[in-house]
Amino acid sequence: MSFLLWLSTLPIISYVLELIKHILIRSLRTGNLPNHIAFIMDGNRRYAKQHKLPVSQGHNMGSESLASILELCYKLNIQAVSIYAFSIENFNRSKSEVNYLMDLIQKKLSQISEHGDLVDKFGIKIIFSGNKSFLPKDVYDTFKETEERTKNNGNVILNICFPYTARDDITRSIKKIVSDVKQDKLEVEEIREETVSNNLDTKSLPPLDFMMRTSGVRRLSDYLLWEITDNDAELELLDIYWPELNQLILTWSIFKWSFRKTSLNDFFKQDKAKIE
Amino acid sequence: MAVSFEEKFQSLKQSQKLEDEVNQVIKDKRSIFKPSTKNSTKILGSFVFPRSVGEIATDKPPQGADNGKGGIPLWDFLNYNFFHLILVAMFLVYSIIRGCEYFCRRARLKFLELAYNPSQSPQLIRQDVNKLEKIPKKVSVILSLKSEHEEGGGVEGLLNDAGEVTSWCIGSGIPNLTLFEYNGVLKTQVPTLIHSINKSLSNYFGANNLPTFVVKIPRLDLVAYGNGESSPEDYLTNEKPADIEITLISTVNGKKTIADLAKTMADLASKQELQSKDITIDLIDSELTDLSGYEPDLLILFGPVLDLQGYPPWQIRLSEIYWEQDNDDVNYVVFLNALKKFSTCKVNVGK
Repeated sequence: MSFLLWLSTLPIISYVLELIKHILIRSLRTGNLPNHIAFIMDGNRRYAKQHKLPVSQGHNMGSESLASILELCYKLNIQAVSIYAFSIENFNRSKSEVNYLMDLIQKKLSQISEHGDLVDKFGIKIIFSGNKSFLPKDVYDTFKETEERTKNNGNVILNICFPYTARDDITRSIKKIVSDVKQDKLEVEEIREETVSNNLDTKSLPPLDFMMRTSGVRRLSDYLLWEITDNDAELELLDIYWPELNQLILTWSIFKWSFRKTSLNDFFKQDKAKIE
Repeated sequence: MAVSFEEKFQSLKQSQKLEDEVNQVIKDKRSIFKPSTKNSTKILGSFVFPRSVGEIATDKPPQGADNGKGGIPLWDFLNYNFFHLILVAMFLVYSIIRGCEYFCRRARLKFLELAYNPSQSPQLIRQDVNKLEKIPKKVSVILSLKSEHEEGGGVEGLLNDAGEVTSWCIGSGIPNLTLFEYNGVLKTQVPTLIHSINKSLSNYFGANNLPTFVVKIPRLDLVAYGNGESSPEDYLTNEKPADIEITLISTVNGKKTIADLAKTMADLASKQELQSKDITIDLIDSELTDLSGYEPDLLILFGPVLDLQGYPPWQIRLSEIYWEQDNDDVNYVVFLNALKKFSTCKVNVGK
């Protein structure tokens, strides 16, 4: 293994690897690609435990692997990426860890606004989803600032769900509908499924196509429940921890997704009868 | 004068006609030429995916990355086809690998099905389940209606599957079962469903020892009782609870129910009977549990991919989801594997 690592540091080998990666990405872009990918970033702490690192180090490595994944999504022209950064339930964790996570996101965001070139170069527009009433004042201000700073970018939308749960999102949507009806902005008779989806946090994003969860857990954990039950949305589970996810694994998953959208896949599909 | 004018007019008309004809010929020629170029992209394009050629221009590499000649359409076109050809080649290679994988998985499942066949005996199911640390209390199953001309397809096949799943659940001691079918066929077939379940139960447990069951349809408030010994009164007075409670749901119980709940709440609020601050997650949860069933501990899909088919979104918050790749029938091995997987999982909300 170490030999392979050493080999990949040779200039000629790394050049060839870069070339292969480039060709792969260019060819994938001529095919079908998801418009909106969501990630459940699970397993930072278990990764740290497995490698005998402090928990904070695990979170740190997780944010690094997020950066490389965003780079790939940008190169693949994917329109929107949603990440489950913090669940409302995560407030039940130890105080020090919650504080660490708050600090981490603030630090990362201030890094962005200081040397914004990366965000601006890729044209990443950052938006925040979730129930902001749970946020401390300073974190909330940083979020507002970041949204304001990146609002003119438009290549990729990065939707950071912090702190989010789908049930809370649906509840807020219903509340919004109720208050709209009270203020006579909406007729009761006009309320439909679309009315609820148009009031969810994901309203400004393209429909969810693909969700990935790491760490082999087979649950949705209250994430984008409304969006994932759509007929075209797919979920892929990976048996690795989030910090281990790299561009190669993601490329492979997207390649398989793209394959499933072609007519070559018809053979592997289930024959289903739908009554209109 | 008049004649010459008419002649002129005629000749003008003729020349116009000629021009039209020439135009037509040119058009025809174009149409002869065009398809050849069009077809080549079309064959490539529609073979794998329907993406129009017009989109080539949008497929420019990101700024800075080797895009010296990106402005020339022809270059873009060739570029596109070159990379597209690579993609098609990769897909073709992958489809062969995928085919091998598919047959291996199918063969493995068929083998396991023979090895683990419960052969309609609850003792064997009990033996399999007793090894497990915990079993779920609420199980939900997504069944799909297959087309008539397939083996085990049609409504009959669906009812048969429902009966089998019920027997396995009773055999392994699961007290609550939800059956989801996209179209809601099961809901319209309750008497036949009860008959089919009874048939399956008598195969497993013997006609003299029939377990009891209740069938519920949430939004219609319909409760039906199996033909076991227990009567409706016994069930209602809770003296002799049914062995299993079966809830039938369809896609109507999903997003549509949530939208209807929003409608009801908006209606109440506009009549000042409900305050906005009273709308909480707990209130919505209890309402939706009434309207479209409870949240299952384990959700089993008997399809080849994870396709939730409009399953009620509110109810799958922490449910363990299980499906077996490339499987497409209702199979005891998949059911047992799902229970095995469930027995090893640990739920820690948020932590």
